[in-house]
Amino acid sequence: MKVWTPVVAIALCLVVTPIVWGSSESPPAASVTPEIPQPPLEGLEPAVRELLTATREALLAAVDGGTASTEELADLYGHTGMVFHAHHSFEVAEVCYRRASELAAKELSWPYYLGYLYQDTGRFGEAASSYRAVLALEPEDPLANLRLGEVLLSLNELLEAEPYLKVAAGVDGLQAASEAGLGKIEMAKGNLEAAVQHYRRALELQPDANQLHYPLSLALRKLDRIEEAKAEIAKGGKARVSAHDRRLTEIGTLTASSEMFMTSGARAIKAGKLDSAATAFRGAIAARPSNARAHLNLAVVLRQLGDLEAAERSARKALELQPDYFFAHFNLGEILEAREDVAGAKAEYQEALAIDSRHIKANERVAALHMRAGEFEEAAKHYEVVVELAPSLPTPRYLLALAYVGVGETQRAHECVEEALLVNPGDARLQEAMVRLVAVDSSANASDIERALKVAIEQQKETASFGGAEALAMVLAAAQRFDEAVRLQERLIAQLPSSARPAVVELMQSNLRHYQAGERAVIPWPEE
Amino acid sequence: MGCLVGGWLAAAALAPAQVPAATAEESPRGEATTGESLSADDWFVDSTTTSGLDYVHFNGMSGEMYFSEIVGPGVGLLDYDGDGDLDIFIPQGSMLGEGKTIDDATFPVPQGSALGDRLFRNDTVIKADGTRGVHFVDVTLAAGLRGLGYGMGVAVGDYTGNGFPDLYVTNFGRNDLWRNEGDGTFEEVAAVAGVADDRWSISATFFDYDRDGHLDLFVADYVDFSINTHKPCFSTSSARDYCGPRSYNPVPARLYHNDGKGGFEDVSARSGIAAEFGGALGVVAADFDEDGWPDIYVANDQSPNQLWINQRDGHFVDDAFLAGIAVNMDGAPEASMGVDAGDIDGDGDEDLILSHLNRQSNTLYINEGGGLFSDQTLQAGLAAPSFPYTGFGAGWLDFDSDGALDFLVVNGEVQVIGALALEGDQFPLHQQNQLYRNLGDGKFEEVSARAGAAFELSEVSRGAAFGDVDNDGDGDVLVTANQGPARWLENRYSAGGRSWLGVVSRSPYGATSLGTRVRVDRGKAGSVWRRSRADGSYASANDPRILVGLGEVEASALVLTWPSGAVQRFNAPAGRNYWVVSPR
Repeated sequence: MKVWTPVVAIALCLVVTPIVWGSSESPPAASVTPEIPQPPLEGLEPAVRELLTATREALLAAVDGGTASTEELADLYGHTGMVFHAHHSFEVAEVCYRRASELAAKELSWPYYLGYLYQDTGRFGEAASSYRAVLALEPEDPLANLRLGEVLLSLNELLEAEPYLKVAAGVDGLQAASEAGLGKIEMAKGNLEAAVQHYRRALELQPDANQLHYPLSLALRKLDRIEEAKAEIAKGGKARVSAHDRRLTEIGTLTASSEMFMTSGARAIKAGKLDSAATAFRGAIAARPSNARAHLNLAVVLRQLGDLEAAERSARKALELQPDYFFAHFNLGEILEAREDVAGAKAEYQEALAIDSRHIKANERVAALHMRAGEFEEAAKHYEVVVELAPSLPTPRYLLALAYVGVGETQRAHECVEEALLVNPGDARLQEAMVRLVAVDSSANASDIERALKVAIEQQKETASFGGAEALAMVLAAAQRFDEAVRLQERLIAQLPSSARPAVVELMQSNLRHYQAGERAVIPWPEE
Repeated sequence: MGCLVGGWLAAAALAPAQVPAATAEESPRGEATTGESLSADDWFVDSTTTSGLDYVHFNGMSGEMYFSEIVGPGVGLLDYDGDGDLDIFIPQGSMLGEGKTIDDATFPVPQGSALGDRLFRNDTVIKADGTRGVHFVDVTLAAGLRGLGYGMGVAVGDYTGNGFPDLYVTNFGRNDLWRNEGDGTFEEVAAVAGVADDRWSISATFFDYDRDGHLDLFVADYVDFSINTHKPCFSTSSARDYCGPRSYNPVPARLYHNDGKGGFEDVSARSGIAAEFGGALGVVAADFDEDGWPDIYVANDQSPNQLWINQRDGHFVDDAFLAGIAVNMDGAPEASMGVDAGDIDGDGDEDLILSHLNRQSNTLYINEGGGLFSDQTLQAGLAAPSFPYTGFGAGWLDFDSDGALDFLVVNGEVQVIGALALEGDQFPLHQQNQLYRNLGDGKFEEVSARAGAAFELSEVSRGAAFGDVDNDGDGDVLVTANQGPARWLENRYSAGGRSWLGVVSRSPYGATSLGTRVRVDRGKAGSVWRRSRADGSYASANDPRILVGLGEVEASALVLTWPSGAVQRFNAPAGRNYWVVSPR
């Protein structure tokens, strides 16, 4: 079997007729030649349409030409199958693989690909037959052993699956996936200790396959090792165990679809490979220049790579292609913010909100810009939307409280924080906010002050922060323990670093004067 | 009517006499459909046309491939007029897209059909030969139901406690709460009652989480898709296709506490349930950890599912990971759509079944006690047959009345099926539905091929509601399809040959009491556990009555555990009756 690429396939179609086949072997009888379905091409990207059409026509021409050898025809059918498989046109691929398998009875690849196609589409019985056909030719073929083991596992034929997975477990690149499969078998058989060992071995072999922590946790839970199970759950993630399958990799290289580039770009981002992601998105743009998402994804990646100018250009291109593209406006807003173009950023966020007024992040971003500009009333409006949409998140409620303080609605800010504490009682920032707001609230009653004092003291015990200490001084004053407040405040002022913001210094000194005069603080946070 | 047994406070059979003797219209309406050919061997018969159930879903598609157009509708079974039989409520779609009109629709509105949600009254008659003639009459307008939102699903429960079930309709847009006035009409009160959730909601459930006697409401909200944030999505082949949930952000579910005065308070944040979310499609409320308090299980699309364990103080804590029901046994989140809870292995606790996207398989979680589960999908034989399908409506149903819960799932893709596109199909998402029989040894067998012509149909099925529509003591199924007809699949399996026992648990004020647990002792045949529930499946509401197949034996005792925790025992209740019971 030769290695083919889209370029080869297209080149082949450009010389569709006549194709001179090198061998004198006769082609197979016309009576068994299958019909190659014509897939719907409407709506496909031009490059994909061209590739699929050319590949299919090349095959038809060769079949009709009658001069290709059996081996050449088998290769052509097989590679046509691969091209269609790569574009998820399974029906065409199936026909081609089957014919290729018939024509080249000793070639492993075609029944393997056919088996994988069946496995991928849930036809496990047929998949098992195909893989068995591979193993009949080459019993030690590691990939076929692994896949047959997987398929038998899906069919709950555990005992049958085990020997195949054990063969694959001895092969580099397939070990982790095989160990995971063996773990699954032991779990099903109730051999929990053995399952634990297999899963641990799989994780040793492929530490980033953090999904495996979950089945491992289940085995531990069943063994009543609950704390260990919880620890494994905490390590869990989204990365699955993988096998190095050179055959499937080859299929992946045959795509001409912009979407496949998009997918590989997304995978690269997940893996933290930003340069690869940018390359993939550029590939997606090359395949379909009108792909607004590709331009935007490229913009996002370029921003992460620090090339803000190119990122802006790419985001603007996305908007040129799709002016009502919410995410393009939003991301362009972020890029402009990073370029310190606050007005431009705000305008883009506003454009995004004009499309979807209830988007959490867009509301958050525009609110933050309003806060920075001291436009607290506007900020509060946006944070209110965020709080409504995400009531359990502590940060928006905290920021909403700050916005209320900004417009002088301290009481409302206090209510907001109290509500947030009902949802997030352990949030230290909210607790400190509550302390500060109680401290400046002249209508707060003794029990509120007592509670705030208790919280402030507890906080200081747990994490002795500067802000927490300052809040403690404030609430001490509110509790009319002015001497203690003065002493603490003086100590804090003495500890203020020279880099402290003037507004902070000013507030602290102003508060100290209040405490010395037997008054409580009146401003909960520095004005800025 | 069966004899009153010692210890019963209120017990009466739902006698056939309670079924109205007159029908408004005898002749079937609507177009003939392909599922209605009846073979003597058919276990389920598509009796849609003969029953006069005339509903075709309109999804409002116009080629833009809006995400929301392929998601609905569900279906609800409820006895809205209190006459003892099940009526049907089905949400309806509408045209999608700013400035689009009906003329832009890819598929026109079926002739004679009116848009808007529909209510069909069940006017069953007992014929002279003793057989039942089920006939549905569209009473939407007379009932005052003018739901014109883009309907998704429905939850049913008597939140007012007036003895008549109310409707909570989830929409792509603001949800509706239709209060049943008890006189055959409904009043829309979502805003007044404080439950006018305007996020995209799919499933919902009424349940009494604080056991105060008033039904609270959980709403499963999905993702932040809107027409304005619609984006083009593409298949691997580069052709336009429908977007998946990951193209948008999930939004948190909502929990509303019933204040007992006709209103609700949004306690989503305070209760903790807003803390974790993943784009919910299905929900079921049941006591999974067997502490007597109802918990919530949320089925999420491509994100870990949540098991909200009731802390008995108004708070919930998600324990799905340790419980073993957050993700599949490989640790991968699945695209969970439908969900149902029921005791399939006769050990008295709630087992779970979930329907999933193709290439994921449906998943069976067996409750090993105390709310710890084990994925038994492979061992049960449920994995391989479901792998090629995308399941939506799903539920436990003892279709053969042998006392073991079987499984029915309705299927329909969410992304283009290549083979259908190859044939030039205009809406290439349709698939066949499936029926699995519980073999009683932990294994299931797919029996779709023997279930009847209705299971040969290929449609884009979405909702499935389970209940005894013709009051003959076996479980029927209402199935809805996206851009397709609603179908009543009438159970003809036992045809009167097997015994059964029905229980209608009523609260002191006459409402059906959701969450009541029933144990039916069957002598040597063992005990069977069931729960009064309307939730489960996908965007649908089931018959809240409890129906127990007895097979060839009779019940020796019936033990009820009320939502309050109170227990009542009754001896030797006669089979083939629906018994109405109220707490002491």
